[in-house]
Amino acid sequence: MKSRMLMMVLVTAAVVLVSWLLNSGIVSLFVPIAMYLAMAQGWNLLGGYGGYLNLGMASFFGLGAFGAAIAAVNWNQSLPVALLVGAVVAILGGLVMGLLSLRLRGAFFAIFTFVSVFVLEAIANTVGITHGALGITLPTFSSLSYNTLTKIWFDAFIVLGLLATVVVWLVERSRWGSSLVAIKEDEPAAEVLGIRTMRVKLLAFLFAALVGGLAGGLYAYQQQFIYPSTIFTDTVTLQVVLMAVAGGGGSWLGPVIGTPLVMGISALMRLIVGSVVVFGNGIPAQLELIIYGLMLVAVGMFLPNGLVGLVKRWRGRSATPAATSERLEARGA
Amino acid sequence: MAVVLTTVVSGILLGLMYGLTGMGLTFTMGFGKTMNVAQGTLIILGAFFALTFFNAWHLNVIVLVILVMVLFGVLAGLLNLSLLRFLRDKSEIITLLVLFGVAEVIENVTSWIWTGNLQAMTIPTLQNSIQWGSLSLPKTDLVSAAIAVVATGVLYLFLQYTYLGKAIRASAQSDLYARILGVNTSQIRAIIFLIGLVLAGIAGVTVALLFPFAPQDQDQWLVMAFIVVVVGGIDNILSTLLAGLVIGVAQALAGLVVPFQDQNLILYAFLAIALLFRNNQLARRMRSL
Repeated sequence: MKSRMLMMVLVTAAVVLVSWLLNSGIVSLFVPIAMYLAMAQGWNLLGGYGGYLNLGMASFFGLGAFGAAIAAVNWNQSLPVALLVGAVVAILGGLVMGLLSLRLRGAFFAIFTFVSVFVLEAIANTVGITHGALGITLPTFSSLSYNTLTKIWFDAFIVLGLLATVVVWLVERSRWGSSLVAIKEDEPAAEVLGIRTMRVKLLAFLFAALVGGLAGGLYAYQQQFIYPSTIFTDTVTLQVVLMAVAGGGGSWLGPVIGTPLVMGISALMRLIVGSVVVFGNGIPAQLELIIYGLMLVAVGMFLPNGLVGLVKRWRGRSATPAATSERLEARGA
Repeated sequence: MAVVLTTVVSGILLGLMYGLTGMGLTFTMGFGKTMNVAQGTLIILGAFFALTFFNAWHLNVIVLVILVMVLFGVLAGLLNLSLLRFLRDKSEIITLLVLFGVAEVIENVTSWIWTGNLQAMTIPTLQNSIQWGSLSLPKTDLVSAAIAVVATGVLYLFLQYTYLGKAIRASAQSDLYARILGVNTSQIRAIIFLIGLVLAGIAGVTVALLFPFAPQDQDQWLVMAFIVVVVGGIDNILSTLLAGLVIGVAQALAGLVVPFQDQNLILYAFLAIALLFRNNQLARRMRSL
């Protein structure tokens, strides 16, 4: 355990170090990967291990972004305080959403979280504190060059992502992780066994809120301009869920594999399709989202346990919990 | 007083249409046990179909509805053959995941074809109002309310009195016993999905009749459908229509005192209150599924 921890610290240090050696143009390509790695890990606990499809990551992301932006601009707070405010706002939002929705099973929970994004967008567009649809412009760091800033943002996101990965790795080996898997397998049975299902689920939901909120706050600073319509959008959720599930939900390794893979495939597809003129109009902006949507459909149809699940099945080991339940279903149990 | 009366009546007309937008979601949830997160994008797709056909051929509203129904039937068939057929024995979460992907694809293809701009369908013959005493009722409101009532009525009669309708209700109560009694439940599932989609298409036509719309407006209509489902429950399609009616009247009355730009917030406050009161009931109902 200690050696693993040490290894994680070394990996993080190495990644940060490498980011300072590379050209900032290359590093800037990896900023979204680092951000989505964090969010996908945040999603993973409840969505992957617990089997509760949370389609509201954009809500946490947006609450964090707007919380941080409001603290920075309206209340003149420094970056760390603003990030903290963003995280607290996201957690409070998560608490309200969780208490309202976590007693509902499966599909109802999913659609509730999905709808929460749109409700929050409408609220952010209406109330005065977020400056409505005009959005918020955050303070700049004019003393730092673009190249340095790019590297700082990458480092911030990747540290968050790797920290989240460590937490997920630890949870996987804890009683909490087993409880989440038990809830996924059979919630009434887990309850009968004495698992406080509501508390277990709510904590996992709040972990998603915390990570999503921090990522949102950092994103707000990195982008400098945020608008309700670009922050509270289901495309954020789509990417988070796709990256986690494609790699393998319910495994700490899943998002680590899935995030660069999905982003890489998407970039490749854009390159390929971009060189072919589509309907004589060039490439539409929607193409990337269509690709993500199709990828999610494909993953759901052919790789429900992600790449991790696939590898485990090839190795013939007793695979992820999800694979176990699938075998049970196949046997008609 | 006359203002309140006018408001209530227009709230009722609009509310019936709201009920219709929630009907497809209620139907697939209540009978098919699937949550269709693509409902909002499908409604908008229906609106764009209606707009395109109207602009091309200046069809009558009834013909438009029938044409959109047919197209959505074909779409449901294609989705069923290509995707949903293979998802029957997979978990509910996987089905949702795939439908989420489908929703994103449909939304972005819609905005690719018809652009992201706000568009509106204006049928010249329906632009005026009917005067009835002191009430002035816009023809578009009347037509969309009529579509909602007829669609719900036909669906209700179908569920109550036809063999297929009874089979759908039976398989919703118990898949196993329905199968024992000789119902082909996998076929029934496909039919439920088809009806849910066709209802989304009809709702789309009424959206096109009443409001300007854009592909990214799908969220608004999904939220509306969701509110209707939370208020009306998923047991009975008549209570869905009633829920839409209540929401329409409440929204119209709130509109008298709340500024226009805050009207959406009223809806969401309504959703939060409804969730608070119905949480237990819905949880129990979902658990028994």
